[in-house]
Amino acid sequence: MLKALGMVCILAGSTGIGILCAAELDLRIRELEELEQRMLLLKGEIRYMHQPLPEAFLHLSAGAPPPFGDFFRHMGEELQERRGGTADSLWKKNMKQDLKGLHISSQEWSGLEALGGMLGYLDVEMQVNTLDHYLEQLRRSVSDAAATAESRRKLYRYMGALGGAALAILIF
Amino acid sequence: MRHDELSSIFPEFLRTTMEAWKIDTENLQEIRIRAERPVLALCGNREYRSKTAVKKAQLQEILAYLSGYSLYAYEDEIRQGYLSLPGGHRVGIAGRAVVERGKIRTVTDVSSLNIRFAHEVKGCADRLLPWIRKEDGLLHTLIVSAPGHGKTTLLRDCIRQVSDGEPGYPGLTVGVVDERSEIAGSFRGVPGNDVGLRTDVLDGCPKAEGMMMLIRSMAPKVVAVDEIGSREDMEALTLAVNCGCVVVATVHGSSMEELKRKPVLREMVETGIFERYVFLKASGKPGRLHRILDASGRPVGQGEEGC
Repeated sequence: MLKALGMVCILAGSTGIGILCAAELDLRIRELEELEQRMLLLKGEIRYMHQPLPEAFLHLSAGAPPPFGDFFRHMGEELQERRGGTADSLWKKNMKQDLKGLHISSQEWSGLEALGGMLGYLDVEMQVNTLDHYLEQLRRSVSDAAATAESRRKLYRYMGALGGAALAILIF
Repeated sequence: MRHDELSSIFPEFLRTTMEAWKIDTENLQEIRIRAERPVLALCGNREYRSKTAVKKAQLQEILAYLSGYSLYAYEDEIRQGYLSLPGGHRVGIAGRAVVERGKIRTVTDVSSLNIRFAHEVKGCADRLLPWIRKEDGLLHTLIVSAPGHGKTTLLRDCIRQVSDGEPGYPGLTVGVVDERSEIAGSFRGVPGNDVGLRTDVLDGCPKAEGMMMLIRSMAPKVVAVDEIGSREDMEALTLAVNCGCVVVATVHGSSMEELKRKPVLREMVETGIFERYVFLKASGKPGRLHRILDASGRPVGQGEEGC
């Protein structure tokens, strides 16, 4: 009886892990798409409204799901309060504080970090070009993430269940 | 200017420097920051100097800070050599101009900043108003002076008093086209200075276009603008007058002769748009009246003490 219970527990646990891994693939797509959406809005704020960064970030934070809402709100508030430090340093600090749980690769993380260092300077055209370049990177990431998810979603689920079954057979 | 307002505008480095001077921020007139030179401040006609020079990188940082790390948002202003701050203060910029097809695209390699502080002096138009008022309103008025003599300060108080009204003179709706945010000191569209109960401010808008917009949308009795000079300004002023508005404007200059030497202004004088020319004189206080002339150039008031 105990053996059967143990086997069920191992099987359920490993299947759950497989399902979670598959879900993370979808979460990564959703996060990248949300980031793309926010960057499009930022581009609009800069291009059509000529909004300074503090106001633009506060507008972006409205209606943004976590953790993006918190990130943009903190950026807007801290830039507005002029507590000192550069926009780049605040961007990096708030990324570490609010976005560390994102399911993005280290390359995507570095790309987002680099974007912070380029915001605020030069003219509107340059800002729009910078954002366009970043948006292109993001779109590539979304499409890669979608392709990866398509091929691995089933694999993770099956691997979870089969791995659990194999482990249970080996133990018992 | 309040101390906390000053603190919110400047980066830490400048705040520390100014705290060391122990100056009365209410009387702060201007701060000049030049690359590899000490910071100079003018306060109550006394000059203060920092012990250390400002590095070029620090200058860039100050500019980025003053713009809220959003230099692109001030692209048009920078092209004209200045940056507006909340409260109506203004930062003049000098450096290397980038020219494209004969027009200035931007100013880069910034080497000097001149921060000029706006001061709201309520009551400084008290002595002027009797000369430009008439029974049913106001006379078309042009305030003339050299830079730094308080034209904008005087115009602001004029607007406030005309808008609020007083016994015997009901308040009038005033439309202000505040191209450089110096009159109303608007921040995010809301005036920071007291410009009166019945005043509508069009902030950051080119004067000529702004006057047309205000006349069409807000139907003001009085239209007020700062620092006119272009042909477009003159055409818009003429249209405003033809629409039945009273215009109150300011212009750089020192005498009627000087105005007549400038083609556009000469035309303006000759067409007789303005019924009063108010000349200011240099003084420790802003808006001191020197001479007031009528449309034909005859004096109607002389040697009046301003505020």
